[in-house]
Amino acid sequence: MYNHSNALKATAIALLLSGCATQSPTLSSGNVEYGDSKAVETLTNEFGSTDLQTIAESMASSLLQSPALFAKKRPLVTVAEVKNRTSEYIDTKSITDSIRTKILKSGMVRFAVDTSAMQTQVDELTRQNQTGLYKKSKSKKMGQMEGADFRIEGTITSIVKRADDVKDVYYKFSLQLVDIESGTMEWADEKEIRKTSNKSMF
Amino acid sequence: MHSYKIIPFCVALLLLNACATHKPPQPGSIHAKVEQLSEMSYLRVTDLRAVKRNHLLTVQAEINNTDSDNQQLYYRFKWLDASGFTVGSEEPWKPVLVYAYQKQTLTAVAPSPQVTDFRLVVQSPDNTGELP
Repeated sequence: MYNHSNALKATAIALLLSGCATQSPTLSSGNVEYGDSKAVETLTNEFGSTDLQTIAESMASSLLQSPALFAKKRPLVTVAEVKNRTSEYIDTKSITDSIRTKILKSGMVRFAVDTSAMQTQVDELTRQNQTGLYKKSKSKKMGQMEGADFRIEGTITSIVKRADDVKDVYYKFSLQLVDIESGTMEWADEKEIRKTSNKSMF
Repeated sequence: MHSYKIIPFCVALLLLNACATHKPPQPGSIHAKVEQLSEMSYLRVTDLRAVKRNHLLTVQAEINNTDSDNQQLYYRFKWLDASGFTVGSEEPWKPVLVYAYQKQTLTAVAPSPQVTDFRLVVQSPDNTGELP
């Protein structure tokens, strides 16, 4: 009798609990979950998301403090190449894209089409002006593009050292702002990152 | 006193104690600008200063390690406009190593001229597990 009443109580509690629980709007096998894209990632000491994010943030905030950019009202900037001189594959375009996005969001600088997007720009202008498909009054004119005031370029280098079970990686990201008309370098900054990993025996 | 009477009494005391110790931070104080995910055991934010430079809010924070061991700190800033809304997307968490008894300076620049206020969010793996 005692066991029977306990079983009834347990069933009642289970029913109440299941009544309170709500279904999450997910369809999952249970092995995959979303994480924080802004979390500090230290899975390996190769170049990772935290390195990309911290470089982009550091460079963007430093560049926005550059007096050269404030000498002109909303100057026009273009992004040239960032050379990868490390021993690993790093998508440097992704770093410069992040820097550009952060600077653009400040609203203090404009960006001109860079060399990698120039063909698309030319194709669009050609389509509007030379295919005969567009009204002349509504198509964007040829020869109206603006030349950039400044060019951003840089390099990323690394030094890798191994000793016994320790691997040390040092990254240095250098960025420069060059005045295109005068050819003078108006701003430069560096971001250094050190990552050390131990190959534990246990 | 029976135990069934003591337990609610203790709970009430704890609640009262919690109310008494968790006073809202004074406006303008460091605590009003710092969000600790948990009370840090050895790291303290000892100084905060902010100034507008080139239309952008620039913040400098001083972190003091009171321990004889090096301490890891994770931090990020939240940027707010005049209405208290966040400006831009969330910042990435940034790791910084604070050596034993070192005073480490953190500097950050707001992402946009609309920013008028900020919060410094900090987390140390060596924490008390208690609310700050």
